Amino acid sequence: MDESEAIARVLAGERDAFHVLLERHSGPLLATLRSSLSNREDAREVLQETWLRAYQNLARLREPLRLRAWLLSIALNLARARHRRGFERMLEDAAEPETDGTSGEAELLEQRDELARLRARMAALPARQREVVDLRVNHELSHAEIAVLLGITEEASRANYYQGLQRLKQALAPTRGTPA
Amino acid sequence: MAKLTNTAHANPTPACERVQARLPDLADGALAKLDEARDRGHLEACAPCRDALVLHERLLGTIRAAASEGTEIDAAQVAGAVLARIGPSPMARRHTLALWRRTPAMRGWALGLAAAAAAVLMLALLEKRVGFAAGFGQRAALERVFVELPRWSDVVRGLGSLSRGLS
Repeated sequence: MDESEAIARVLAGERDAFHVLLERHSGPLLATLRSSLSNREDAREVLQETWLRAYQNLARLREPLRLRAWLLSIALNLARARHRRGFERMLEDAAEPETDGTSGEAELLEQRDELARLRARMAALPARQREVVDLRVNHELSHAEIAVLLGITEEASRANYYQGLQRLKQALAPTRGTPA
Repeated sequence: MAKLTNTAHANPTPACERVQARLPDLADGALAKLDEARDRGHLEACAPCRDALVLHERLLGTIRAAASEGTEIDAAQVAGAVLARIGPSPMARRHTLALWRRTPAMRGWALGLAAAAAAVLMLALLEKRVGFAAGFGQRAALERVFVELPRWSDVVRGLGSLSRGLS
């Protein structure tokens, strides 16, 4: 079932079609929310709220092909609102790595440290830079699409992207071993 | 592969600065062909700039990995929670009305059935009133009318067709 058909079916009252949309977009939406909110529970709550708003307003979506961008705009607005209300719990609830003492343990720990540093850097970025980096890297939107979505110019999108990446680079380990 | 660093280029030339400023576009394949060819040529000759490109690609990979970690989600559970908050589907109700408005056949049948029901009710009332109030001869005449009526399914079908023709 393609996206337009699924949307038409949801509008016709077929709830099963809603599951199709949800399965297709929840992962990427949650990734965006996680980078904005850092707390997993907050992100999941906002994800649910995003789908609720989307369901209630689906009839207003004029171009079904823009569903993803539309969902992202709802999610980002809700995430920003949550920031403003100061609801974010800063407890990072990432699971601790399970170590078993095998030879890959050190490498695993290094990777997880790097991911944790990157997340911390990401959370510390100005909101605009964080959003642009996420939309460009994780959703592969063009700067033109990001500009429309965030209500900024293409140049501003590009500038925020470069600046965000420069800051995030510092999260990477300064050196890495020399693979074969 | 050479050891990677994210320290600054030791002695960057203007070409190095140009290439490094465009690394995101180069990695995205967003450069014009001529610019890309020129930058790739520089990268072949400049190890620090190559390292910078590798570092950039590693950064993108790490951002994607960080974003995808912990995003496994039970879509059915989320859908259930969302739909439970919505309650009975307002869309279904709207759709039923929309279908009624849009579909002449359905509208025709519904109007036909309504007309048939009204006719049955009227005849039943009339028959009851006549049965009590009228004499035997009038009642027998009315019963003959009933006998001569076509079957009810034909009446409904006829009224439906009539309604479709009018709509």
